[in-house]
Amino acid sequence: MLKYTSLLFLTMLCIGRLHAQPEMDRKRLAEFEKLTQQRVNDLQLYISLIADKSLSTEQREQAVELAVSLFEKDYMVNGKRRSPYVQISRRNGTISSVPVRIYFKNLMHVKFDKVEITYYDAAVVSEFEKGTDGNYHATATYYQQFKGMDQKGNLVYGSRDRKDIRVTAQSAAVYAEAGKEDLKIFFGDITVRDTVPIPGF
Amino acid sequence: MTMNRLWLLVLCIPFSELAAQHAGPQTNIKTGVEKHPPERFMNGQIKHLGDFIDRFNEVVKAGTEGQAALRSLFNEDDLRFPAHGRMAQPYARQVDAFIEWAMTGKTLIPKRGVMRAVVGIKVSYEEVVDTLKVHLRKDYTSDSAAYWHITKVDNLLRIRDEVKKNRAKEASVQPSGLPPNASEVSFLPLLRGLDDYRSLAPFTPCLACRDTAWQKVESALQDGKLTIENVVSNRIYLTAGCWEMELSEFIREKENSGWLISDLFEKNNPVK
Repeated sequence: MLKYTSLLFLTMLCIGRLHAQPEMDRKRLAEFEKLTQQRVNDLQLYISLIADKSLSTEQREQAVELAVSLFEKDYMVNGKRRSPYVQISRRNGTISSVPVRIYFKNLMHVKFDKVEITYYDAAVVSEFEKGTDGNYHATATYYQQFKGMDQKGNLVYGSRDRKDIRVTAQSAAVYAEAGKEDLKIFFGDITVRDTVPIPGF
Repeated sequence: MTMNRLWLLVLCIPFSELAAQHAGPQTNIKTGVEKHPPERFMNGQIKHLGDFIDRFNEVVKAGTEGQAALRSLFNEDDLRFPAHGRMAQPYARQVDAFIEWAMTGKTLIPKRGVMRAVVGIKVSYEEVVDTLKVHLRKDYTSDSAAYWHITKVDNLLRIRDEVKKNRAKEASVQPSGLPPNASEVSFLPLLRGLDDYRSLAPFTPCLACRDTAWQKVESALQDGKLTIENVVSNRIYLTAGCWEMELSEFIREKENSGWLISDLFEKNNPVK
């Protein structure tokens, strides 16, 4: 009898857990931070693939699609179609903005014969903060080195940039009936700040 | 099924939700990205405001041992600091007084303390480029959501003296689903919101803040005469006890970079 009562108690305990709504405690936010780091790694990989001229156009276009899929979906505001964009600030003070898809497509068609994009092991995610939309928001920062070379491998252009990406985190109950939940991380706008030209350019 | 097997099944249920966590890359074209070890400036750079607050509180807790670390939170290239052949200016003495106060008083900066910003936005008014100065304050709602709201806009000299009251009244109704704008990086979400709504109103819940200068800018935005381009200057103000620190972002390749103290104001002694 005791065995059956314990079994019933355990079963009730599990059902209770399944229906509990996720709470944004410190542990949860730490999970978001870890997941953001992984998403940044994914984005860095896709950017390297997009720029790699040794790959086929098809493979690089696939990398563009994968990179774009990490970002928030387009949305409509006041009849305008909006998508995340990349804002590039140069040291000479010029600032330009393009939608992320265009930015990645432009990266595919840069004029250099060979492009090498590498990263530094210094990606940092700021503390997540709740926004008025109910989601949690943070900024991920990493450093990227870009080298554009001619056919002989001579450096034609080089720069080191700091990138700040707006990150939105959601905890969505995707399998509501089963009580399972999923963490979702989307990237928003990116700020690219040209920090220093590489000597030789 | 025997009773023992049933027990096993029940014990497995709490772990079933772990399978829902999905974090890996969506495809495996190639694995791994080559990464360089971080350079010193990358670790030293104060990348986010939260990072600044953490560092400030850490050095204050450390007491006198943290004095040099607290000094490193100031922009070391400030010409008001004594250097070769340069005399110390009143600012340098004020910084010394602040450091002494911080070390002895051990006042920490709360993560959700008073934070305001003054942002210079490049705008185009009837095709002439100008800079609009916008004053913002970071507020928190009852459910702890953070957002920046406009408290004041400085008058643009060229802007015409036109205020369309009917439109300003319409704009006072806040649309639902405002874009989040808690990020301080170039205030991009705020810029996007201003452009989307062609109005300052959704970001100015304080009706008393809608003075004549605000209404002129609001009318010009609604008429399409004023277009928003990008943020050209960004100053954040944090309060610690009786002091207000002005933070500016210095993007440069040295350890003393990122969000640093660029000015100080003593509340009871506004004249420096």
